[in-house]
Amino acid sequence: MFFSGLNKEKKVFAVLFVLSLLLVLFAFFAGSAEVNSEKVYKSISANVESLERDLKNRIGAFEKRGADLYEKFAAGKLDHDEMLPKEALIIEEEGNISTYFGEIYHFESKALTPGGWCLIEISGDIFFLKKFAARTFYVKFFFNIENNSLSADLEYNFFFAKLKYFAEKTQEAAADSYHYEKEKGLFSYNCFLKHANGQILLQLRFSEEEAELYFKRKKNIFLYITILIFLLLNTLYLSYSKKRTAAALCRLALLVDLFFLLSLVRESNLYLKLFDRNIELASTYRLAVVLLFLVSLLYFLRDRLKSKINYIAFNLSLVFVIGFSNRILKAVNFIYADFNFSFEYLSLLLSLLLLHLIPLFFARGRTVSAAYEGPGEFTSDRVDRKAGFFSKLFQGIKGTTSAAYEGPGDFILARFGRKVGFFSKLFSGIHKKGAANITALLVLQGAMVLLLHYVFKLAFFNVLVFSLVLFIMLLFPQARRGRVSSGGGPVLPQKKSAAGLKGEAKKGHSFPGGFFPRLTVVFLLALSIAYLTAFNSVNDKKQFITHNLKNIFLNQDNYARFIAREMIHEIHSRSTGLVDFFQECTDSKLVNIWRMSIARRENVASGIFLISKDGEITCQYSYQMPFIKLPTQKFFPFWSIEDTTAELFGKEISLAIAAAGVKKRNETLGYIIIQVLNSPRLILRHQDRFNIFTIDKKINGRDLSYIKLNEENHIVENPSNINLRDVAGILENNDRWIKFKHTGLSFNGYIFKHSRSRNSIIIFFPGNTIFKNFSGIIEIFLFLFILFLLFYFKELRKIEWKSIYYSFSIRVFSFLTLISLLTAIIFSLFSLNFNLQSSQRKMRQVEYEKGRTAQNIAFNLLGEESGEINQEHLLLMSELLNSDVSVYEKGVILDSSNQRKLMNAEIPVYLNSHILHLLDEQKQKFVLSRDGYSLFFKTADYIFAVEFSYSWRKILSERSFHTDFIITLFFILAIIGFSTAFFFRGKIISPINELNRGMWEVEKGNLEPLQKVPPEIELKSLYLGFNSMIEGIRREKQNISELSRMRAIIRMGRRVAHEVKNPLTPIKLSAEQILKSLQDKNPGYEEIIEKSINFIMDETEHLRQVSYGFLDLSRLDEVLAVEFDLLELVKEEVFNFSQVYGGFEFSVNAAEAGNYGVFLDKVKIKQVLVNLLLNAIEAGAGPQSINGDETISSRSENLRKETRLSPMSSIDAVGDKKGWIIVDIKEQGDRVAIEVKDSGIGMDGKELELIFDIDYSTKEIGTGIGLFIVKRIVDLHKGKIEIESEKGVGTTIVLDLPRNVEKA
Amino acid sequence: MAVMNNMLSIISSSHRKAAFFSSLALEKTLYRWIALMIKKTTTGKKIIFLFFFCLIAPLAFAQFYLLEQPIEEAILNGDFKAFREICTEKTSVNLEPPFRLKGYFYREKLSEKLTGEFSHFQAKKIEWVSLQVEEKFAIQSLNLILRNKRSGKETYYKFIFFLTKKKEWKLYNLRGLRIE
Repeated sequence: MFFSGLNKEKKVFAVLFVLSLLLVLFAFFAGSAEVNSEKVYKSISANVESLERDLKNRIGAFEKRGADLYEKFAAGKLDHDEMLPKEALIIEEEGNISTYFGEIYHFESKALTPGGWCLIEISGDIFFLKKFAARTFYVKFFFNIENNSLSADLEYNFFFAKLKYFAEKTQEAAADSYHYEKEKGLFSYNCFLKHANGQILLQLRFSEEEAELYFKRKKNIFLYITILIFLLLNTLYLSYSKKRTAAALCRLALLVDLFFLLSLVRESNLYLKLFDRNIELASTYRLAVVLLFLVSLLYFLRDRLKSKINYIAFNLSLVFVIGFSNRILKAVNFIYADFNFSFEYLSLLLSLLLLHLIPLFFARGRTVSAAYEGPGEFTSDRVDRKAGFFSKLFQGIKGTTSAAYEGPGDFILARFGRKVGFFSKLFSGIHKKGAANITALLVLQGAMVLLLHYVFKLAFFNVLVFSLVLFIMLLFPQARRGRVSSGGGPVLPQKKSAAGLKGEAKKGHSFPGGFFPRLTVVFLLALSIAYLTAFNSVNDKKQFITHNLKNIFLNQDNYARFIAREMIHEIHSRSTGLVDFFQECTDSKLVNIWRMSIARRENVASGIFLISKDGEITCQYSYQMPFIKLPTQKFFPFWSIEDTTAELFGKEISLAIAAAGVKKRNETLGYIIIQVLNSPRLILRHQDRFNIFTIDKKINGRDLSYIKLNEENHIVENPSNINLRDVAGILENNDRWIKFKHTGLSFNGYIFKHSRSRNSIIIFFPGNTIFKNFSGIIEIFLFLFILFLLFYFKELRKIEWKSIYYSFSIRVFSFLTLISLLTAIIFSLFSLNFNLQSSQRKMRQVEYEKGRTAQNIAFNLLGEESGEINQEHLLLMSELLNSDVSVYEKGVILDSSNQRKLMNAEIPVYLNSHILHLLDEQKQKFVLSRDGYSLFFKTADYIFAVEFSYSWRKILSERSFHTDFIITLFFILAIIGFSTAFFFRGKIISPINELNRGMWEVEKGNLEPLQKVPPEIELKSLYLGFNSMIEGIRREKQNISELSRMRAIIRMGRRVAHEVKNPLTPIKLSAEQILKSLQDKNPGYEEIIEKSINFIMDETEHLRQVSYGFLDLSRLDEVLAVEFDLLELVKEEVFNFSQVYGGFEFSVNAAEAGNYGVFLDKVKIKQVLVNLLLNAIEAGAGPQSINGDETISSRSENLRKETRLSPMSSIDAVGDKKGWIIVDIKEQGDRVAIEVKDSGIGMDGKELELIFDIDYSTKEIGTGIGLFIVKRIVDLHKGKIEIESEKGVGTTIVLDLPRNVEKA
Repeated sequence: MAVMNNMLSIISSSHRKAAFFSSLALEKTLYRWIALMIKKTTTGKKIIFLFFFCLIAPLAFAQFYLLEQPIEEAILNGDFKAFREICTEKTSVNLEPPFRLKGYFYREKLSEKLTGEFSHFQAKKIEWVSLQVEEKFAIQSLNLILRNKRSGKETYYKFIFFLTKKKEWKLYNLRGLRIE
């Protein structure tokens, strides 16, 4: 029922709204994260099939790969470097590996028949094993259970399942079964994977939370897609809809509703990842609200803003709006679970209410003031008002479409340019007054900024930029011109006028009016947004460092002790006393204690050691650290916790030690020691993955890092390898921000001192480079530009692209631009590649340098290459190099500094045969692994593998410096290209344009040859050809004018003969009648004679008038200008006519304050007026007779007598009181215009074309000379005449005359 | 010496009563040690010892942990409004599942977020575990059992509170760990 009477546009809007509501509701209910057994089962059954299929396919691929390798091996063609990572072909003899190709992470000889295969597992890693011959096996890493990854190149779409359990089982019943243990909240699915050696049961187990997360993720994906769809739909709608204020407000309200609802459903803020920036979408809501209020405010105050006081009031209102929006923003962020009637919630409700009421108000207000009678309009407000929100919305729509576009219009960012015109109008009263007022305005803006900053605690810089952008846009003259001007815009359908008909050839094909000014405003916005986001990003980081990271760093020692305390708690929670614990402890018990502690959860290097009274370790569990013996440690019968430093392989380390002596009666049994390595990992990384720097999405702290220096100014920790200069100078600072440079980049660092250790810590992040800033602006500009194009889609469609395509100048410009862009792209790609290669080369150099250091350390440790290596050596090397080090003896792993990696099969047990080959046989000093993360070198007995940290490589590769540089370079090149193209286009096109202009002049009748003949040969001949053509036309024109003059004379002669001949016959007849009457002298003959004489006299008078008419024509070549008041003349003539033609309504309209003094030929202008008025009367009267004695004809005759007008334009129509004639007089500058409108019968197009011809008349007895005279007089005065007429409606004739004929 | 240092640092701490009884483990050991001493010393020494014990005993039961009351109330009631008072202006949070909260939040927002996150759970069996306190910094942990209101499933969870002191103790970092 809502749709009845709606036009297409409103239907789209209504459908869009309903659709959006339905989609959001659907997202809320259908995408509910509630988990139940059936739902999970459905998801599992859909995904398990793909999992099994993937597993089987993968096994098939392994079998094929193994067979290919074996074939090559059997043929003696297998090469070491053909092997892929984590794959090997093994020849086994009596349980030992004799030969192998590739690298072996795990191998376990199985009793397989040749051709048979099985899967083997070690620490969660699953390996595929196939036996090809009696002693030949193929081994390949299959997947890791923990990581749930089959391999890098095989990812299955099974989001939530985790392979929790993997084992060989034989229970058939358990296969393909699905379980849900409600008490434990666990789901499980079993499936068999049969192979030659039996069968394997894969059990997928996951908890309710994991399933819930899966569904939530699904829901989130759905929501994001929904947002995109809405944005697209709204954008499309905006592109196609009419631009009216209320419609825009309605649409904005809809968008805000959408954001609000989505953020509620999403239960958190929505982030829009725009290039390198995370933009909080809640801010969009805030922005929308602020702008909405702002525009509304401006709308209400639009007529009252022309004084400073009102402007102050406006600014104050703005302050409160922004301040209020802060409250709203808080309300938007509330979680629906925390739903209560707080102030924030109420303010949110209020804002939403206003959002929907304001469009309504606009709609209502505009309906009253504007009369819109378009088709499909709503007819009844009252009915709809009862239909709740829908009706409000539709009322809004109704109002929107009924409103004439006068208001501020849409205020979507990209449309701001359009609004500038409106704003400029608002402020025209102020800024036109001069620079003093602009200064005053700036001061006011400044006051507003300060008020916002101090009263509402809004970021100073943000408000400043916002205020300045607003100010600049208000005073932006370019955009204002763009709004007002229509010259550059697409050509609108011309009015049906004589002049218009003639000028149709002049069609344009430029962009819509104000395109470039609007684009400038978009750039201005991009500039401010880029600076705002960059500034906020830096501010957020600074705040995070000073308020949070600083505390975390200072609290590091405390945290180490805290972890030790937690381990003490675990020990006590598992035993009744220290004595019992000490006596009953086993290694496995210690493992359990450690595993339950926070140390395991946070991956902290730590250990629990039980020491006998003799000082021997009786029981221990340590993770990533050895037992560190402290020389002066004392033990008490209770726990004591302290910090200490110790030397580990020559390097000083910090430890938190918790120790307790265990005494039974008076006998000391031993000691329990807990050691926690106090390293930066403690605070920086949680669970080895998550970095504290990247805790917040908005801060995006990938590039945050730190450097720690001791009291002697020596660097203690420097994970980013920053090279600090003037360390002493830097360390003079404390608790303050500093700036320093490294490799040409500027860094912002916060320096503070640790009170206990006296270490200085600098937490830093790179400052924005000029390239970064520029590329940021460009990125945002491009984004806004795309939005801009979308919003102006409708207008862009109006452009005649075809004509643009066929435009020679556009083609030349496009071609030159394309060439320059191609050059820019090639150059940018080349330099990008060059930079990448150069940085890779540098990275390699660093790696080899590190390798050489490692080699030196190894030689020193081993003593002339013959010593034995042990784990302490490896740990020392690892500490010194800050890299994991592994050592191989005869190709087999001996030890590693990272036991965890060894245990988790992250290090090959048998070294890659290819590397072995290169080191052993080809005697290479260093070999870099294929992935580039490990460097190998050889000593006499051992091969060392130094592993490089993946993170610093990643950091290096993630540095967007090169990209920023390339973007900047590309745009600079592109701008140069554009400018060059523009210059050359001008060079090539300007002679053609000149020629074109010459042709237009010819069309206007100006037959002047082109003066500036270009020197280029081709163009010169073209110009000379054109000039000779002009000469030819001149000659032809002269001939034609003589001919036409002759024709005119002949035509005129015929006309004169006709006009004279016609009365001669009745005169002759009357004379004959007189003669006959005199001869016959019948009764009453005297009366007949009198009538005949009277008739002859009338006809003679008519002939006299005809002769005057032609006399007038002969005088049309001269202008006798005098000064007179045009308005007075018009009023006088109109008064004369109104006295004679009482049946018509005459009116004269003119601005009272106008200056109508002119210097023209008064007599001729009077003649023009009389002719036009007579024409209007004749057109308005029609052919009928009027009731009365006098006819229009006779009245006209009288007028003609007075004005000595041509009697040939005689009137045979009669006037009744049915017509009106309006004469409008306007003046502007040196021009005056007379507009004569009538309500007559009008003319069609064909008649209009002939109207100025000398012998054309629509009247039966008309001479056709009237309008010819008018046209001639107007031409003599160098004026213009335009006629607009519609059959049956009326005619409007507009005379455009110069004020002074001599200056025209 | 280390113990003396430890004890001195505790006694000299502005929050000695909290720090002194900070660790349950320390407490247990200390009581056992006291009992042993009482058993083996003379009556006069026992009286002197009991006198000092009585002197410090009220302190032991007055307050164990920093900001104990507001934190406990917030967790038990699932209403974290009190966090607006006990947090620094912005607080970093990293909570493991079943919560989904990670970031650097204004305290108002954090209290709202935590309330929202806790709306699905009911806290059972709160147990303060350890406290490590220094002059300006403190870290304390709290174990609890979370019961999912919908499924009834129970999860063992640990909160670690990182506090700093300016005029009074404020929370600047919150870590949540799921204990398996």
